[in-house]
Amino acid sequence: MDKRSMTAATVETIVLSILARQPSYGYDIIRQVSEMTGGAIEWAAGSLYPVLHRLELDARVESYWMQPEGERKRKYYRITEHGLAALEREKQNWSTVQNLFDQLWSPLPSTR
Amino acid sequence: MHQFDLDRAIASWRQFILSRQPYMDDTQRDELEAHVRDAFDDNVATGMEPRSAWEKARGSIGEYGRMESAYHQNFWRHKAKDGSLNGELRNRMSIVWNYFLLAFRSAKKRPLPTFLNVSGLSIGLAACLIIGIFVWHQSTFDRFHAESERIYRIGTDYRIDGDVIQSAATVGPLLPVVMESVAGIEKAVRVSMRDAELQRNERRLESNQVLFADSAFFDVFTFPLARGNAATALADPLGVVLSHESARFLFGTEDPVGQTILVDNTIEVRITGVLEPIPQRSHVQFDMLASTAALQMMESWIFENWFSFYFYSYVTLTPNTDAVEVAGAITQVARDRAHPELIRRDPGYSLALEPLESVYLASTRLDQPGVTGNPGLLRIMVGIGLLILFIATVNYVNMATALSLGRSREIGIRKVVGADRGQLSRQFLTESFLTVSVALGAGLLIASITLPKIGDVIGVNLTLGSIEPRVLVFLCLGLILVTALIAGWYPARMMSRIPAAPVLSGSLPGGVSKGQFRRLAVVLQFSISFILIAATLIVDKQLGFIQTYDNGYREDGLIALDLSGDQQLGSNPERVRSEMLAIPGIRAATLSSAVPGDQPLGDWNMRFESPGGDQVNTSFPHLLVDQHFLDTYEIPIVAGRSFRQDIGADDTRALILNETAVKELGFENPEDAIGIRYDAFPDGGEVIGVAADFHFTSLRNNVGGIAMRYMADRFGMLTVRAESAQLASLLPRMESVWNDLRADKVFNAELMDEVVMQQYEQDRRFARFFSVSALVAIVIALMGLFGQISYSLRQRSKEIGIRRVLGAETSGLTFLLSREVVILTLMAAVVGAPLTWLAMSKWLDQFAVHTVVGPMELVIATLVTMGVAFLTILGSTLRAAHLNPVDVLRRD
Repeated sequence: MDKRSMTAATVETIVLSILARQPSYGYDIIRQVSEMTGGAIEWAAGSLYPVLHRLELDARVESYWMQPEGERKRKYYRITEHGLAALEREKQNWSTVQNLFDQLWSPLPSTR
Repeated sequence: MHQFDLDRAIASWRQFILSRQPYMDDTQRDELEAHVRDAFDDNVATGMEPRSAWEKARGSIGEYGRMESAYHQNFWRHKAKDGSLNGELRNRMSIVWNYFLLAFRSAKKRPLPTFLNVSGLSIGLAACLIIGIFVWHQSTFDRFHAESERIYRIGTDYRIDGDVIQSAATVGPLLPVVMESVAGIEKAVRVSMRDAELQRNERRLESNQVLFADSAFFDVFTFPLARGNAATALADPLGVVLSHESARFLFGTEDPVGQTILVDNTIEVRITGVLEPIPQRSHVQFDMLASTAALQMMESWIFENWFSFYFYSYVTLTPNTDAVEVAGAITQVARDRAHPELIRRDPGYSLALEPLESVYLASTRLDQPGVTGNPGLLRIMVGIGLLILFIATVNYVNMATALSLGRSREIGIRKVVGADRGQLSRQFLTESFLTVSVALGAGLLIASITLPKIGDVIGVNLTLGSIEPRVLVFLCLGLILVTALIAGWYPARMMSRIPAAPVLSGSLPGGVSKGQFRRLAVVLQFSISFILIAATLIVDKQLGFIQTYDNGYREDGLIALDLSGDQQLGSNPERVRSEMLAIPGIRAATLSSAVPGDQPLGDWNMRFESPGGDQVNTSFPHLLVDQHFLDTYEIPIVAGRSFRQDIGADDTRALILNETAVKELGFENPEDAIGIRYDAFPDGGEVIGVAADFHFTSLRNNVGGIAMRYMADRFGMLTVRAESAQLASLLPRMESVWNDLRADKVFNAELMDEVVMQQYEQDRRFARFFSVSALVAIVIALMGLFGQISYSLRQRSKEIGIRRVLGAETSGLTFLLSREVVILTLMAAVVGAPLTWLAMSKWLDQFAVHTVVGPMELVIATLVTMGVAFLTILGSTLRAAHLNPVDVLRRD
């Protein structure tokens, strides 16, 4: 799978997973993904923000503007109940796939 | 180097986003700004230069195009979700409506250019519509049959002396055998075409379209019956089906079914059915349909002969059958049964299947059962249609760009009050859509009025009503879309780029009027007009050349009469000849098997003694004539002698060849061929004379070899010679002689020069089509020129005024103002002349004898183009040159 299709297939689940830990804003989400993958996945802002807005439209996340002490004003996103339920379903789907890959990619037991 | 200013960079970036991301709202822009600011801070923190840090932060957005489409999707999703979709759509419609209002106002403000634009475009669109309709008509023949895509016609390929002859016909016994032994064929039918005279009481119909068909005819083809039963209509050998038209002609409003008619004055047949009108787009047209069983009673041998091609065979293949495979199997069957002589002469004898849907337009086979299309003419027409539309479109572009000068203030103001380039482009595109739509409406009107007349010119009977509505709708929408986009794109792009500030401060931008582009456009338009005018002249010249070309016999004063098939006249043609000759004023008369311009002559196999004494097998077209033929046609004998007046002494063994035939046989000198022995059906003999060459067929072909022999039972044509001046008075007397002889056939005298010219009907149509298109092209080009000149003279009125004040003469000014147009049309001629020469020389090469593209046609075309262009602008330039300078200069 090329990188673009991979991003398209996973971006919503990853974003929901990050927001399930704690509320965050776009730039921080991109930074977290980059750090966690050791720089292997670097999202462009142009592809993340429309996804955040779409999730908000579907009420899976909600947004608010906030200016923490000594920082600039940013738009934060937090996951909703509806988003958590959606994430739960996604987790099951991905676990199935992960399970499949685990089996497929583990060394074959010796037949002798 | 300047200190980097982040706030300024961000402000200009936001401006960029604003123009590129129309679906992003303010908070979304704020959010993105916070993002790039964060990225910038992080980059600086890693030790980057501020400028580079900014560039990297800006780059972290990714592809702006992808982002725009993502925001676009979200925008509509949002509208759908919060229930404001309808409102948004209404809003958009009102914007479009607003564009329409603006376009309408702009049109009202400039009535002359609008009128010229709309009328030019409507003529151009009408031309395209007509041509589009014609192309549709020609390329959709025979699709009305229920299984048309599975129906094929069997054609025969055979070789004579190495030349492949492709015929649309097949031998009679083929199809029944094929049906028995070849898999993949569901249904099949043979048809054969004959001439006949149909008579009921006093009404007579001379038909050359009587179709004999197997009883499966109505299974294979879909020709619905208005009266009668298709399953049994052809069951009785003496039962016939009439076409709608012939039933109406013979029976009027009576019901013909069950009644009888007389065929060729001998056989009485019973009407078993009447067809619905046969669709125009059918390659086979017929007046009467009879059973092959009846034909078998008259000409049984053609049903058994594997050597003569008298039938057209059609098969319906079973679904998903490979036509090539079936054709191979049919070839095998035909070869197994073919006459050994045929296989001996052509070991490669084969048959092919042609899809029914393409036989009309694509088949180039000989002996077609009906009319065929002309794909070459069709391609030329499409080309000319596109050129005419191009001229009209260029007019629009030209006028719109010229007007942009006057509209730059409007555009500047619209920009200042917040219109962006996209909005302005959309506004101008809407204007072009509106103009083109109105023009198309007018074009439809023009097309509906002129279509029948144009149909006459190109030989097809067409009205707007004969087109399937969905085809017409598709054609109209396609034309609007393509023309509006092409016409609107350039002006929209150009006008939306006009900067606001200099326009409003009073200094008009210089590059807007694009004089170069307009001049180029005029040259292109007029070179197209030039080419069409010159082509018309050249086609006309060739037709005139053909008419006056010495065919090798004297054409004027000859009248041809067709006696063939007439029981009374055909049984004793010599009597008809002598009775006609007795009319005072008729100087000579001859009987022959054919006349020039008629069907091609049949090739007969012959064997000659060559100059070296060997036997040579060859074939020559045979013209069977009496002893008066050469005298009547005034064809000189160059060696030997003509037939003796007392023909009994010569009879069928005497042979006269023409010069080409003698040369083909290898004789240097015509005298050497005299006395040479030959063998041929029905009897051999010797060459008694050599006649000078004469053109028997179209001048497209070279003079071929011709053999002339006396065979009294084959005479079907009578030719008489009179003084040209007396022809009109002789015809009624000839008719009364014809009727006194109790002829069955209607008197059918034709002047020979007309018969000969009938071969060039297609070329005449070609000429007429060219002249009509040349006229249309030049009229549209002139409209454009007129509009442009009127406009540019208004722009130059101040200059003209000043020149007048400084003492310029009216004549000098007129010359000055028209000079450019004269130069441009001259350039158009320079561009058009070599193209015309190339294209028309190629066309002329189709004729074995032809004229050449001379300087005269090119000069005349140049003078016509230049002359009409000059006359078009003369009025405007004179008026401008006569303007009172006081009025002009006071205005500003």
